[in-house]
Amino acid sequence: MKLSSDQATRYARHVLLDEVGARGQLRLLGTSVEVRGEGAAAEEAVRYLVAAGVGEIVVGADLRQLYSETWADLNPEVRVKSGGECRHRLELGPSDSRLQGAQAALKVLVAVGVKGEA
Amino acid sequence: MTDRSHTRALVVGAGGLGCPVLLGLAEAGVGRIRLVDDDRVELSNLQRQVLYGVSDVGRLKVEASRDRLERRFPDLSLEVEATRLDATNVSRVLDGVDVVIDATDDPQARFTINDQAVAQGVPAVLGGVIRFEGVIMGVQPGKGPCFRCLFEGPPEPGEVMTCAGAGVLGAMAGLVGHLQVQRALGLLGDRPDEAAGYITTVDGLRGTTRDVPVPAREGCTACAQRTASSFHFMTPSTQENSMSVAIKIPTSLRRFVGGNDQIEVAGQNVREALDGLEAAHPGIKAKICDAQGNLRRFINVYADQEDIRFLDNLETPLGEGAELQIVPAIAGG
Repeated sequence: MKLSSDQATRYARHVLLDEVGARGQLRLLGTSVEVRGEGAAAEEAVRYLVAAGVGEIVVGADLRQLYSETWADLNPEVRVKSGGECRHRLELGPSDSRLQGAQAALKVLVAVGVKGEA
Repeated sequence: MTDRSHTRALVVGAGGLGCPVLLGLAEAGVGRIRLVDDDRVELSNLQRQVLYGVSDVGRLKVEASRDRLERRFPDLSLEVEATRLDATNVSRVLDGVDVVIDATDDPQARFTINDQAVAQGVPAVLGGVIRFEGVIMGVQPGKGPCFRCLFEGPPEPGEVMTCAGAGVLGAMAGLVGHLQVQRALGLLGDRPDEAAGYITTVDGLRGTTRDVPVPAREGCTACAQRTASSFHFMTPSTQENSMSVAIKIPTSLRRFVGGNDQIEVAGQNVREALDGLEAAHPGIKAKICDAQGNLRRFINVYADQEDIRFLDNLETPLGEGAELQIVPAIAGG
């Protein structure tokens, strides 16, 4: 597997990181994350996972709708769906803290992109 | 919720930090936001600049963010300007705002914002992010340290890394941006003292943040611009001489030390400790000190939480079990 030239551009700031590189980006593209939560924290986590190219993201129905209505073109190659099995799960509950959401997304990006989890 | 509908915030930069800052401020009910940025959206931005989409590529960021924010926050009054902030326009841009957030990726702009905010009495939140690390600092003009108290001047071009050159993990920008929002709301709130006077460093790989107190620096040229400034300058303390020193290594230098975040060395003062570090891990000292052996001006070293520039610099004595923390300034945004 190799990154396409569009992907190499889109994810250039990740590929530049020695700790991530093209291999880490390919792992991100191949993984899946379920984000549970109804508040802004969950929305923020999803935004950063989508932007980072996490291949498949499972969210609740409301967030799925918000996503398709307002910011689905952030990264069209990511699938955001409302059901299915995932390798990782984030529990954000009703929290409206976007800080907490970004932190949760960061944890997944480090685990998969840097530390090599699938 | 606190009524912030009449609060006016200035956001400088609509990039990696600007996106979360804008979302966070609007959501916190800040009624008026002035946004300044002259950049256009590129595909490589979309890995972390979460306000935009592929349909925005090529557009001015201020226009793309206005469209996105107005749809989501119809009550928000957003004033945008497609300008690069510099010394010629900073006083006009800062005029009349309650708080300014530096969301630029330009260290020169960071000092320009800091200096003018201090001079005009506008509370400021400075921030930077690169690779897996970030820094945030809240400044209350005339009531404590500013960014120039901490770092005397911007680096020479090429002296520090930028995101374009060194990369950044996408969600790091979100984390640092939202910490900036938190700090800005703190400066606007009832207890602004709790939001200033220290620098927060973020270690994304470990998921930790650390608040390091910053003393105001006597002779700081930015603070001198503010005539009403009459704050207390911290007096350096000295310590007993002894042996074992723990050096906290920032993420940007860990490649020299096998990825460790802390190295134990022997030394009776900072110079000996850094020499010990160099002996064990050749190459690292050149990143901390210049060719003359002096501390690089964009690196700060804290001995037990005190900036060694206010102590005896490299000759600052270290006690048994002392802790040295190396804090590099960060260019990216």
